[in-house]
Amino acid sequence: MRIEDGELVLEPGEVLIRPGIFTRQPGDCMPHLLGRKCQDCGDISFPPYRHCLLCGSEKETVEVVLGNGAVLLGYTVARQVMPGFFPGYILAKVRMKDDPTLVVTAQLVDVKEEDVEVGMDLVMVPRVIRELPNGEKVVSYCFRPADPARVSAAQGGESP
Amino acid sequence: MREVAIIGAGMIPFGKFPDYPAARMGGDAAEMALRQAGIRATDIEATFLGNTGGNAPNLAQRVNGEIGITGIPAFNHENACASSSAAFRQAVLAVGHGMHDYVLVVGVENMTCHIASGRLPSGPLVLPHGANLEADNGMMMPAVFALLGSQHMAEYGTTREQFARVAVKNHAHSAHNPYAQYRKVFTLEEILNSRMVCDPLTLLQCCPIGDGAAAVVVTTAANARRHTTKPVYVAASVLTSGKYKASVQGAVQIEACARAARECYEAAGIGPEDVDVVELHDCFSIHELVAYEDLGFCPKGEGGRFIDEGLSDYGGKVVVNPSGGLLCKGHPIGATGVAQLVEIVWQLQGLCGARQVPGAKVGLTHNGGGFGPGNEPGAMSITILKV
Repeated sequence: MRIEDGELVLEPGEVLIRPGIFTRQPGDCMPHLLGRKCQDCGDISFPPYRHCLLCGSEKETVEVVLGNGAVLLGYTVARQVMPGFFPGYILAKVRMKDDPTLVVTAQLVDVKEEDVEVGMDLVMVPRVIRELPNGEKVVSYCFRPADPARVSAAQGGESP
Repeated sequence: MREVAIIGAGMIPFGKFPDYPAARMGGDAAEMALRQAGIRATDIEATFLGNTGGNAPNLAQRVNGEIGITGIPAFNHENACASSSAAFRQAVLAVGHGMHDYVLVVGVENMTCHIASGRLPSGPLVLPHGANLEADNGMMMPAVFALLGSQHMAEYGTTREQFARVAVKNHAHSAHNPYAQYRKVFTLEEILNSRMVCDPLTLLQCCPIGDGAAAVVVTTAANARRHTTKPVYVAASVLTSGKYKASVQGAVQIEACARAARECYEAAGIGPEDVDVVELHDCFSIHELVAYEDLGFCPKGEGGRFIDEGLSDYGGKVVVNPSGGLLCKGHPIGATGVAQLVEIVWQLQGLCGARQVPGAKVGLTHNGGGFGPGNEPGAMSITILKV
């Protein structure tokens, strides 16, 4: 995968974890995730839900472009992994800065385990996270440290 | 609602039985429960069964067929690891509201058959459902609790040794339980040094894959006294689901557990300080430590101190998992909820031998099933039993 003018472009043999999950945000060099927002209480869901999980509004949620900022709540290193995943990946629970109730679980990349600290600021980056039995590589949303001093060599894809 | 009681409880010893069909396991457990109840299979008016759906369609009917019951209502429940707790809760409602007088509740799972058929991966890495986006990102069941543990360590200073002490305790308990899949005592060092699965969870802090079945016979309190001198009464049984966005707003906890526990204590008129014995859903050691707090046995953030001081062990405030828990007794998914009830029934009847909690009068089961966004459980069941 590569990023061209804020748009995620897949290489041959790569597939998205879900279709339509990324979008281009004009003026930003990085792609963004698409979530949904409640028309009544403003709560944001990702993965997207058709109705609000917080207030139960009868109105359908509407599409919203998420900001890329997040904070690390907790993490674990997966030593024993499912087929197709790369052993030793770091799995993170993060709170998106857009919405205090929006917690996302994804892989933490471009960082050494010893540099990971609960509470650190993160940014979303797309990366290859696994290989399917047919050889296709799956591109998903991941997070990396916002502080360049904590970023180590890119893993699983190109660093923008 | 009529007061409801359990008059018979039975289970097969848990283990790995690839050639022991689920219906047969369920039938064998049901026969033991009927024998303790002292009633005939044909006295049963309805069967409520929990299974995660993989072993066979109409499994309740198949279990009935194994013990000679036909032509009655039979209900099959799927609620992940809380499947048979859901079945029990429906059975309590059916008897309590006068629909039936004698019902059979069965929990059963043959996981090794699931693995042989490719429905589950082998090893300790049971995945959340494939339709779950988080699972596709590498989330595994141990990771759900490893992440919760990481949060608990950061927020409250809990240590990996404190999580491991839960496993030390439950492995020690299992040595006295002939129904447990594993009955081996381990030191803290052995627990900490076993193979790392998901930091800080080592292998001996993760429940095993296994097969098993358990059953109880439920009737009214009025009927119960005609069949046994030791009826066990259902003080309250609550089943709820996660709110998914609630946990992240407050303390590090399983919100659905804290909420279900509050509801259950209130309905039973019993507080956490009254509970003598608990069968707690220790699928991973971290879950037990966090649940001490969510169930109200200690204040938020003090789960580590609770295990350090031995307050969840014999001689402490409440004995948690005398059976060895899911970590050692085993966790054949659909069987677990009813197996927890069976242990509490036997504890309250004083039948548990070397693992007996002295003078136990009030017992609680805590059974979670699956998880959703924000790592909240899909299902959460709390039941309080008393004599």
